[in-house]
Amino acid sequence: MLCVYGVVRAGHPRMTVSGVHGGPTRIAPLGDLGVIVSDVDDELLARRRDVEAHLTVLEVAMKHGDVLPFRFGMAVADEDALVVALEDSVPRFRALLDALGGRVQMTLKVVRDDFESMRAVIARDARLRLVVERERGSAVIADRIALGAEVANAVDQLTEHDAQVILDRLESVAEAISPSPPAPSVVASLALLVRPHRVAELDSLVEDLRRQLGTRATFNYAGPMPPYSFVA
Amino acid sequence: MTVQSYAGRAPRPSSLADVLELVLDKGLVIDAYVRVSLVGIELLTIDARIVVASVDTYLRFAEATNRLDIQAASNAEGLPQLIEDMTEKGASSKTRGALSGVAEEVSGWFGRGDEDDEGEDEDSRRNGERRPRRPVRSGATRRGRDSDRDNGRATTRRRRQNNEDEED
Repeated sequence: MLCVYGVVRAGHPRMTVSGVHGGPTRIAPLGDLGVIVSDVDDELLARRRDVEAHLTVLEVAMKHGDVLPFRFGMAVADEDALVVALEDSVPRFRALLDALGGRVQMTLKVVRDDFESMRAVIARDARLRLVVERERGSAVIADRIALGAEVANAVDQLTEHDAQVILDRLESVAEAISPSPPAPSVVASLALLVRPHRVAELDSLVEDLRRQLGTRATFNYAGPMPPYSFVA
Repeated sequence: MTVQSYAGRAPRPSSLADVLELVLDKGLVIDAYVRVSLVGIELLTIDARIVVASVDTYLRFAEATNRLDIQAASNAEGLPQLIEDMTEKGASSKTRGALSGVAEEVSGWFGRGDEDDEGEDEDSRRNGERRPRRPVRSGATRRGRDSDRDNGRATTRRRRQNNEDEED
């Protein structure tokens, strides 16, 4: 069984990187393109080491040229089956590779600290500060829910504001942005498509944002990686 | 392609959940008819569900205001270790005692509590698919859920189950 990693242009150099289950990777021809594959055991599991092996193959591949990443766990019986499965997609792959033109994906996930965010909103909102001083410590559950709702709403507004600031700021460098669906306490979770020579610029924008949000959010900034979020 | 390194950036996302979102939710897919059945992938169900987190969140914030030094906050000065209390574990363990009665009441309103939650996860894990949620209470429960969703306070919690030996 062949595990499938990514689509590359013809002439992509051979790589010495092991794939999922440790087997060597090779490039199988697909029309005028190539597909990075390796032999794997019949049962593919999303084990941590296997998922990381998948990522590693793609990270090595992108050092030598554009690569369209497959989702983890895609497999076919053999090279013939691979061609049958993908030959119709060759024009689309070629167009995607051309459009990519060396761009890379960066990801930024900003998660808020609830307590620090609450401090921030109470610090800047005198009215809310009075409400909190007056209402807190009530033994009545309805009062506590009402106060909590007011504070939570104020915190959410700050989060929305921060999210907008982040998006506005990064749009100047990213050529495309793919946001993940909203999740609790997540200020922003973005995949950004960036030209390699502008990554340093993105670095400093992220650093500025990190400073600006201070203790009320933590940043997880990563890349460059293959454009997972921009090949669908 | 060479990119200068920078200390605030990692080569890939640091949490396993974020890595999985990247390589399992994103990327090219081969047409279904040739996709080999992948036991591991099937078991790794990514289950986004709406939970009634709002009331819980409100109570958490209300509780947190009690521990807030308002003078210090208005001066924007640093608070001591209280921050850590607010991170999820600390907050829930701190408030659990005081709020356990409330938790019961709240879960009563919405028909399910935490233990129930876990049991259901076990079930869905075993079957490899989601089972329809048991209807627990009608009327008030449903109204509570819907109005919750309507005013945008409902929160989606993503839960990943990874039924294999190397969970993070």
